[in-house]
Amino acid sequence: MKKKTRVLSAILAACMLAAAATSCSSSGNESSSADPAPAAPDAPSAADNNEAAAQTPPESTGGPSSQYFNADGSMILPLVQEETRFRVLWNKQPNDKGTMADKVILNQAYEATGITWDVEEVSEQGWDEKVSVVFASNDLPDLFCGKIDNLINFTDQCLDVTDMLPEYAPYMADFYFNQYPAIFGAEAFEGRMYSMPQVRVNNICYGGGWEINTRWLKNVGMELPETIDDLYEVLKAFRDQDANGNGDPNDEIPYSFVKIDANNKVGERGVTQWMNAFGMINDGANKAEHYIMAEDGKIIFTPLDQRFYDMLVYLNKLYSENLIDKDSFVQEVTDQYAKATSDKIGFATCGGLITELWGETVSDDIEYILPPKSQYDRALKQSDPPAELNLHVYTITTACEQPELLLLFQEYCNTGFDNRVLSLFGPEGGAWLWNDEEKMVNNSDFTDKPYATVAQARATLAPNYRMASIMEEGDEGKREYVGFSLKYNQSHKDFYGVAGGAAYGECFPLGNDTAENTAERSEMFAEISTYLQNFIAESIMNGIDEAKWEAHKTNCQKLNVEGFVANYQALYDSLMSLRG
Amino acid sequence: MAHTRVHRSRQDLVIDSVIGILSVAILIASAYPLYFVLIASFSDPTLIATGQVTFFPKGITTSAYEYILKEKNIWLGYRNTIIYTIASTLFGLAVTIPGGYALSRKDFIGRGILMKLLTFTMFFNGGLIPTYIMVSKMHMLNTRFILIVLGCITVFNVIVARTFFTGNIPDELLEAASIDGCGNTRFFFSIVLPLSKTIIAVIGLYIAVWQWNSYFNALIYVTNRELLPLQLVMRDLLIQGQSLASSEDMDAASVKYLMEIAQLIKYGVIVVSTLPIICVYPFAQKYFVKGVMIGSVKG
Repeated sequence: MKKKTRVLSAILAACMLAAAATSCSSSGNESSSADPAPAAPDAPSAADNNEAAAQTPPESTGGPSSQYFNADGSMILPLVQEETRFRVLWNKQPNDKGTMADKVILNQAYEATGITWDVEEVSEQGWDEKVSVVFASNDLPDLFCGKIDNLINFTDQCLDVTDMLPEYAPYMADFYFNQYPAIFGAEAFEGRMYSMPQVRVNNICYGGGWEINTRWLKNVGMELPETIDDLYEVLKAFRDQDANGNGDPNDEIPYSFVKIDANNKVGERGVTQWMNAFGMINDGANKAEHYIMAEDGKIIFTPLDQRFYDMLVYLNKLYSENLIDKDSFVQEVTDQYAKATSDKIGFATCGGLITELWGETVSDDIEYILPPKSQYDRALKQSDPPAELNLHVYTITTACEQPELLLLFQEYCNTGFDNRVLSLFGPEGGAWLWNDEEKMVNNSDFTDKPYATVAQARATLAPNYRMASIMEEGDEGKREYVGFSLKYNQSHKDFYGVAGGAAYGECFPLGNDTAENTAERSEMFAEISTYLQNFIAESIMNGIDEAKWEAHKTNCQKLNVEGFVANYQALYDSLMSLRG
Repeated sequence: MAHTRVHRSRQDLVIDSVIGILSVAILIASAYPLYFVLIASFSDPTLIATGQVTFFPKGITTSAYEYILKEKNIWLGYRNTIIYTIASTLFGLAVTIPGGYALSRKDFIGRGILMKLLTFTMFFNGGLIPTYIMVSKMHMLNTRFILIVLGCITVFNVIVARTFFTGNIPDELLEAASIDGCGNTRFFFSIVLPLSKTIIAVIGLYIAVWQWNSYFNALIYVTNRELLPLQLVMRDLLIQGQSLASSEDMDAASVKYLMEIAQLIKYGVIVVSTLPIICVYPFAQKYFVKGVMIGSVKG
């Protein structure tokens, strides 16, 4: 028996060794056995560049290809004489109520260019898994249409289009390289573009809003609060009086927010929006909210700053005096919505349109206010440039045999205002209409349509965020906002304008780091974030004092916040030096 | 015949009472969430969010069901799921039952090794990527076949079937049948199968429930929307309700939809997707209870 066991053990050990040896050798062979990539001419691979390379756009060499462009810059159509087909993996939006045949710009582009897509639609909820499997198995389509979050891990299987853009997509090349190099910085890895982003210039992306019920204010005889002390008095009046006028002085919730932990979007609807009132912004690489900010060129970790401490003390004062909704740390957006639409909430730190929280009836009484003034200056994060930016959405793979045609196809979709509108919003009569002043306004009549909202109409009729659509500053000028949308947009101008004076001047520049540094930061933040969410909630609910603050500093030290800040400082310095 | 009454001690009564109370508590804990989902799917979402719906529906509305049932993809999903469930169950049974029977036969040469090999695959398998590559190379991506076949035969089910046959089909039965001139095939179809309704029902139910709830295979191996099963369609609907559009698109209708209808859909989707399979349970229940006892008693 013993002998048998020994033999069996020996066999198993041999098998393990053999398996280990095989896996080592196979991993070494993987790249060489993969299909050869039709790499762009002279394009260095990411692997060749271990150190952070320049994030600055390359100098454009040569002009548009004469094979595809006339001397006046117009595209020679059709691009191909015989129908050419490409396999495309498409991230289908949940709001998309139709099929690919409903996307007018694609049909138009098929007809004009002679290129056709064989689209494989993948539901958004399965997109990340599918993309990972497809890359891992090297069963690559020609093109991915949809955001690839971890593109940095797959750059060796994606085509480096940096040098091809001026030749085959001159409009886009000019946009990325010359007009908005910051966008290039955000999209590129080590100075090379492996994908293209969707961009809307001047679409202000600040998601936070300070919203207060003016009818309640009138009922308690008070004015719009301007300072944190004013707000404190207002909230007390909301608590003590029958502010909503329903005869019950005890059903008012002075201030409500939703739990911090909503996909780590801590600032969007949560209590961390208060950082803006206390002179801080919640910043990070490529718009991340990683609790860091640059101040006089130095990266600081805001939760260790005195301003953060003062913010927590103030919020604890509100909480301990029953001015904050006790459900705030656990409730979902829909719970808050139910209370707000029932006229139970007087003030909220929220995001988006007023109607998003307060419903149609109460919204008429709601006004945006600026972050109240504290002993510190106000600060608001702003994007650089002010733009809606979805990175890595149009990705050509190394499996594509004619990548230039896919670049030309995207270039066609971005050529001219009409095409750009079709790409992002769809045709007139769907999500939008022309008004009497020749401005685009949102449509509201969806009778007999498969879609029921503007969001659904856009997702159904346009590629929307699934292609590298561009809306220039001039294009955006043709859109008109009415009603609550107007109020919302105006509030952004107020926040960032003279009245608000809060646009923070040292926002973290857009740009990517090396894969190693990005992964390291991400791992560190996962731990830091969990700790901070608990710490903030604990501090607001149970108070904070010097002893707790010192313990907090020790905890941060254990979480290697110092290393996290150092990592960010290195990236910041690198990106700033490239800006000159 | 005189009815003899068993004397129950006080201790018995106490234990019975505790067991009874615990059973009722467990029943309530298990059944109430299902009941709540049902009443919530008919109630005003604002009342649900403010905690006013507890035992009975309030502000009765059928908007969730109107929305769900007008989705043409729902019916497509239903059709697909029914096809996958029936085909997968039949295919799974067709392999699992004979497989389990064969492995239960002592005269099956090499059954020990085969059993060990099968058991090995319960703990070690190729994983997602190699499976995907294999499916891709066999040109089975985007086919109904892959959704029917992949995963419907499990070693666990084969072992359950084998255990049943080992304990319920005695060797003497085969000997008696052989004496009467019955061959292996006839013995299996004419004698074994009629005696195995329990295990067929149990394995069938296992496979059917698994297939009904399955969505991951479709998520990975199918992109053709015509082939999507109900669970993926429902998942789409659910996520659609939860996804925040950009603020610019947040017109009043969008918000109302997002905050109210979408919440209702959440409950409606659960009812719509689970009701059919729940309806199957009562018919298979008597076999199911017997089935879970398989292998638990020796002798």
